[in-house]
Amino acid sequence: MGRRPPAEPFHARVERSLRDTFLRVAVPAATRRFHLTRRHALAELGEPLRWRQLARAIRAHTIANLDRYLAQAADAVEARGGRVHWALDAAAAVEAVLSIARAAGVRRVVKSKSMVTEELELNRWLEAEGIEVVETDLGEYIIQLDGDSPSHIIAPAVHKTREQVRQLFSRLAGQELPDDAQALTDFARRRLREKFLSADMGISGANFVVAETGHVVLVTNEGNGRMVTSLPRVHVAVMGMERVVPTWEDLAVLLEVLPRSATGQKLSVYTSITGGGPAPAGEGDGPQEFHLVIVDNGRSRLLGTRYQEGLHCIRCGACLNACPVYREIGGHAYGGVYSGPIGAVITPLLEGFDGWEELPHASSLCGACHEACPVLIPLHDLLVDLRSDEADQERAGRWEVLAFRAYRWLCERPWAYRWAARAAAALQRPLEEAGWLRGGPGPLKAWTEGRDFPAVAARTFRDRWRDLAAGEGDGQ
Amino acid sequence: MSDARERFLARVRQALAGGAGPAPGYAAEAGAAVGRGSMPPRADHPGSDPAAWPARFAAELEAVGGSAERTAWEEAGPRAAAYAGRLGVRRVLAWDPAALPGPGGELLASVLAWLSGEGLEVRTWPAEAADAELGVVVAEAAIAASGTVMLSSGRGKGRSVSLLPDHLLVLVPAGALRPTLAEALADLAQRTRGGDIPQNVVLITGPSKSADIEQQLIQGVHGPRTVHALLVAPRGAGA
Repeated sequence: MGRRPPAEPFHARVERSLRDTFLRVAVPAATRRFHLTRRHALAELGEPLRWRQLARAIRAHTIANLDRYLAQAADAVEARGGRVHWALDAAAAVEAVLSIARAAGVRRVVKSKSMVTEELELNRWLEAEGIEVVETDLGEYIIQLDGDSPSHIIAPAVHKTREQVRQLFSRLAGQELPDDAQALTDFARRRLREKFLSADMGISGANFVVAETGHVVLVTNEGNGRMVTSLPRVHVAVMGMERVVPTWEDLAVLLEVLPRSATGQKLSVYTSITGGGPAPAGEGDGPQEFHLVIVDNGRSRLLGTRYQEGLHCIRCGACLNACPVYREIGGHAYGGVYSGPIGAVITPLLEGFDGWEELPHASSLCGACHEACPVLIPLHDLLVDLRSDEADQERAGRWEVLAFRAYRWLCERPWAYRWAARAAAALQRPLEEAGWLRGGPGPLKAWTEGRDFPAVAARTFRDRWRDLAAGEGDGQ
Repeated sequence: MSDARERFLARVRQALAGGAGPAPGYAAEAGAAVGRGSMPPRADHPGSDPAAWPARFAAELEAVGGSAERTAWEEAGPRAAAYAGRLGVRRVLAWDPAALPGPGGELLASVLAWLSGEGLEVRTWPAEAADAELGVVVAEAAIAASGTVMLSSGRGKGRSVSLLPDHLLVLVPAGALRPTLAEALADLAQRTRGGDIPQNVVLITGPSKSADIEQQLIQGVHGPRTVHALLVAPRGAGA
């Protein structure tokens, strides 16, 4: 099973994104707003760095003891009458959900936003069983209706225009709906309310799972997460195995930084602490069955390596909002489930380098992602390490390998380096414009078309140094 | 089943033990309980004086699109009726006062009696929720620093009551206010560690909202469009 990298190459995906004029306005506007409100919300705490350090310590401790806390959470769920399903890979996770659905005679599923189920391509497999699956987060619903995929961890439909939404909903309504966000939202509310009230199964992700009691913590603003976990008779929560949090005290810290980092809210509108077991009889609502599906799907490959910190991520999206590359190309160009700096780090680790070689290079290494991260993951360092791994595995292109071999040869031979620098200064003259190169042959042209390339200095440093050392000064 | 668990956990255990491991310094950071539970002081703390908390709670709830007012216990019914009147709603769905021990139940019963007396149609949980217009619940805790109310499920305390109706009225009894999330979750921790584990606890901070269509903020996506909190003083204590 597993997801495949897109057939379209990375540079083609990037170019397509760069030609999308709406995306070029909408993504920078949204990410900039998220970025500013995040900073404001964290600053209100007073000493945001200390909170982030504490959050980081909690995540580091949890992941370093992951086996223990997963076992504790599973014991808690089982003690409360819930069922735990252990899934080493996507196929096992899908099979677990399908067998729950079959046993319960499920015809209709409502889902709240979950990135891990995107990894599993769960909807496709449920639909293949003849089960109707409805995404209920407004953004995810829009995406699902259009057969599209999310382009931001917390704002999945940021790349869609209101007019596109109006057309999608109008088709569904069988009449032209007004070009008005309130009216369109009201339409979705009515439509999805029917689905909530008639669904047999609710599938949610998990922002956190509290090891003490097995409760699933869901952070949402719309209320769909509550619907999905309260109304259908079966609740299935699918968690990436790293989502566990040891105690309520730890949860209190992470909940102070997650919504602030994601949307700039002190708390999201709904923080649901739910499940772990079925609702006791006689409460009148709540699920009669609770299942927790714990998913590895490549995550254990990060454990015990220098990429272990990649599993600290709490999926707030702050690194996307901070990233100058994400702001320009949006989420789809990354091609995987997770985009932005965290996607560039974990996608090649979870899926393997094949087809994802470019992702560690989709970064300027400016470190804005690390500055934004609520749990201080050194994303830029991990990207450099991934590039290094790629080089070690000789995954670079043939010309790149040749170029760097030539560079090494020159650097190891001072006489050759000196002559090469002088030759370059002479050869570049036709291309030079005020200190920059324009045009040029072959790969140089490809570079200078889109990026600046500084000209080699007219006199080499070594020549100037020799003059300076001779006490003549250089007259400048 | 246990076989799958063992295989899964063994893989995690082996991966953690093997390999070169994360960057230097990581191990020390990941050491047991590094500062966990000991939060840094926070600049936005509502202070240690509970007298300051109601005003802060109201300001925070209003900032996220909700509303709040302080009221004497005896005035809670008329204030609730006035809220329903402003909304023009008639069908009320409430938690069952008999299911709430202590002052919360008495407060809810008195408010519901007043609403019935005003001619509103009042049903108590469990009852048909889909066509109710106003849900009425009692907060177990309320968080001053964020304008949040905490509700927990149980017999007579349906999740649907605070979720399906278009409007939500939350009664916050005196003594339910906590300064920050940490204290509210500490209450919950104490409760669950004592063996009383509710299936569902929800922290609600204002009306349901979304900005998924061109980042335009819309209230009332799936949950209630309006949220109103009545901060009720102890019986006989005035406002």
